[in-house]
Amino acid sequence: MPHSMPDGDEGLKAVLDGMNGLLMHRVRLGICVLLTRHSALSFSRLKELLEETDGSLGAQLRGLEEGGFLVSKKEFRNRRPVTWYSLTAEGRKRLEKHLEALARMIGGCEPIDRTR
Amino acid sequence: MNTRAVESDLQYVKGLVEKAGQSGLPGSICLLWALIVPIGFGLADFAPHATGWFWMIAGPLGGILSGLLGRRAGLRIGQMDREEGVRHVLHWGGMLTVILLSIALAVLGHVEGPVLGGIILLIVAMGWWTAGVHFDRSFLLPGGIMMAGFLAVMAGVRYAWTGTGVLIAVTLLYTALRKGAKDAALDA
Repeated sequence: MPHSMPDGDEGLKAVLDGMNGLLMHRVRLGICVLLTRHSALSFSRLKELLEETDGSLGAQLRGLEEGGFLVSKKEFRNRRPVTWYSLTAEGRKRLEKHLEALARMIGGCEPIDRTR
Repeated sequence: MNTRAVESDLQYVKGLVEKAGQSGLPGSICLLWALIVPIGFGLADFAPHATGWFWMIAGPLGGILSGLLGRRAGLRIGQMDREEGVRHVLHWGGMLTVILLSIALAVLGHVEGPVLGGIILLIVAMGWWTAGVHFDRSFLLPGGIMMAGFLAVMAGVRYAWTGTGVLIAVTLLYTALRKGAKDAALDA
């Protein structure tokens, strides 16, 4: 069975310090990672990629925006409103820290026995 | 939270990144070059003196139009890729600069016009091939056709330029149709 955390108090502390509560949700993590690869994504593109409902995606985006991870910009294209989202510099830094903590968590554990 | 949950989340995120990266080369850019390439290549067989002038205008203009079409396609699907745009400018701008520098070979009398044409074809073939490696696989086949076209031109095959241009246009048209169908499926 996989360990839930790396051994040792220091290792555990480093993992916990790097983790960000907002990014524990896979959709929010997915949104942030996508925005590191693309300078901006529209609401409809995010909806298409994440296959989420308007309400659910809107709530996740609002959470990330309020948490300082994202900024949004509204504009009109062909007389239709389009909301663009991009990652803030602070959000990028916190995401990197979170991903490092995840890597440390996986790396600090004994290999998973897949034969069981 | 355990490692299995983390692995599952990271697999999910990896899938998202792959899905977002599938948009690739817009069909409209393929159509543009399917029009420019056979005209420019055909001129080398039928009006060699006009070829240089044609490419001096059509090359950079086609590049700018491609950039605009790429941006328009990005806005349409809701995906802005500034860094990808910069990489394209560096790649194609670098290729254009090398082509302009190679003209010095003819100006200084080291090579004659037809040989310079072959050298430029090789540079463009390399540019398209590497674009196929780094940006979109659709560039690989036209790049390969250009390499084969270079051999045909050097072997003195009649209408080698025109044949190469037409073959490239056919592959680009096929790519445009394939991408168009995919875009239509996504829109539906």
